[in-house]
Amino acid sequence: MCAIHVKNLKKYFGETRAVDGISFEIKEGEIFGYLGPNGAGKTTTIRCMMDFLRPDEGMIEILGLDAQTQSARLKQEIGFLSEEDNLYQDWTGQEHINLIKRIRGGKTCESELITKLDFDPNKKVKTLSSGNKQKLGLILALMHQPKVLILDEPTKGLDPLLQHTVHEILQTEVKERNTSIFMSSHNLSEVEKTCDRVCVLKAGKVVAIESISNIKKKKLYTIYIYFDGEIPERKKLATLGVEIIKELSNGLVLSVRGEIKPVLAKLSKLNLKDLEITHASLEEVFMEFYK
Amino acid sequence: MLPLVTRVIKDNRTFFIGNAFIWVLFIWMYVAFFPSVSENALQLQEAFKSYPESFFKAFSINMDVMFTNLEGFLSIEYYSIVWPILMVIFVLTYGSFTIAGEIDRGTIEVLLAQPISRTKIYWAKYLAGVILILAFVFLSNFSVVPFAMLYHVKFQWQALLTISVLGFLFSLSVFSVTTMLSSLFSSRAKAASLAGGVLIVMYVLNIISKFKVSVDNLKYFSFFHYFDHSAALIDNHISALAVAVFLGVSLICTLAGLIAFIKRDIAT
Repeated sequence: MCAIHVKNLKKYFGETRAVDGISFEIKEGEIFGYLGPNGAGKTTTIRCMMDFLRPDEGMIEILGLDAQTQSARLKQEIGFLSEEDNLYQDWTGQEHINLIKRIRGGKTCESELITKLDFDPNKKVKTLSSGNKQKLGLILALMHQPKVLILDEPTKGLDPLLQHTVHEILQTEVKERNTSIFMSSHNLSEVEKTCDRVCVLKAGKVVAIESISNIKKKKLYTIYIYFDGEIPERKKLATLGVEIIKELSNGLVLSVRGEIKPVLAKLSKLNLKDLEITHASLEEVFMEFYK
Repeated sequence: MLPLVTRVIKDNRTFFIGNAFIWVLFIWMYVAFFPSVSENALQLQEAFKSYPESFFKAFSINMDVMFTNLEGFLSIEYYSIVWPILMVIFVLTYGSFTIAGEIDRGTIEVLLAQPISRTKIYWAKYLAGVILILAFVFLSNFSVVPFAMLYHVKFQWQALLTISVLGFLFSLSVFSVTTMLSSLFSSRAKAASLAGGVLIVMYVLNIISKFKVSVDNLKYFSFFHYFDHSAALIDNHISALAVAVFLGVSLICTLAGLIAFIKRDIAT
């Protein structure tokens, strides 16, 4: 069964097309990364999913329920973490936890999360560091053991050790409770470590939905070439059909998309001293999408 | 809904206590003054005779009872300006925060992420406001009783009850207008300043209408006209029109605010 189904979602703010016809599906027990540069429409999509914003067009279904008309019922099963610090500054962490427990009722696991994240719930939010506020946000999202987690940049402001802890917590949620996780992120190594699939967004439109393994298989190479003598003229290099990323003192860094063999054949005709081929990193692959 | 109502009341306890303290001090001052004012009633009435008739009309001053009974004295000194100003400040501060303040600070997302409908969030905030207003109305009127006893001043329970009902209706309508504006805007300052502006215009309209016969009808556009403290305290009377206007405005604005809150986009 599909945990989240977004179909042809559109949200405009006047002339600005924040989200322009986005569609995707997330399976149960899947961790789905939502990537894109600032202003791509990630937070707008999340706010539509949470029924904070009303879409101009399209449909959002979560666990088979309409995200707009059955929003309150649906939120019993959703854990949400906002990108921004939206906590009550004069309350303590415990006061936040208590209110949510009283509203939601049912079984909660906040003590376990407090221990895992090493969080002090008795301090007022205004005295907490951004990392500790993020911990509280995560506790509030996870404490009622939701079936769906919607997280807007879950590890923002956390140190690498805590980032690792959060990744572990999320993976445990999936393994033990088959939780479906939708997370937006700018942290590509985090996406690589935790997500099964990613959706790449650009200017309010989906530019790719791929599994992490498929993205890694993309034929994108970086080639370092060093010349024995002077670097050939740009005119000559243009025939290679590659992109020159950087010019070195005695060589060039090239980016190659697609088949590499014809490029190598052409390069062999140049006066090369040395050559090094690497697969592009995930970051470089994403940069390709963002361009 | 109940956890939210209790939480809102708890969050406003310091604000409530602070306001209540100021209010009690005012009441204490007026009641403590009254015995000496009463003793010099004749001289004071003589001094006031030189004032123009329109002045008495503008501030609903009844010279016959102004210095001779506590209700008449409080009607002029306390309920003509001080009480409405304090109540309006309290209601604007709380009312503008109900929705717009939460959006302004982003905290509305904490509530909207929970399995509770926007309708319930709105009513919880509204109900908490009504409870706080009731508490203020009670405190600001009935704190007269211990001080009156302390200074051996006669008072009428019925008059205090009537002014409390009128004060509650007045505050409820101001609160409903403010809550409606709070639902329409995402900025607390905008909601509060617009509501404040509306009330200032109403106050001015009421005063102008009493000074100029040609614009007498303008008074019907002002809450301050219907807040006839003098009739409530001295005659134990609230006009049916005042009740209808206050309840009508409250109902319309509350429902308009609810619809606006349900339908709007919330982007913090």
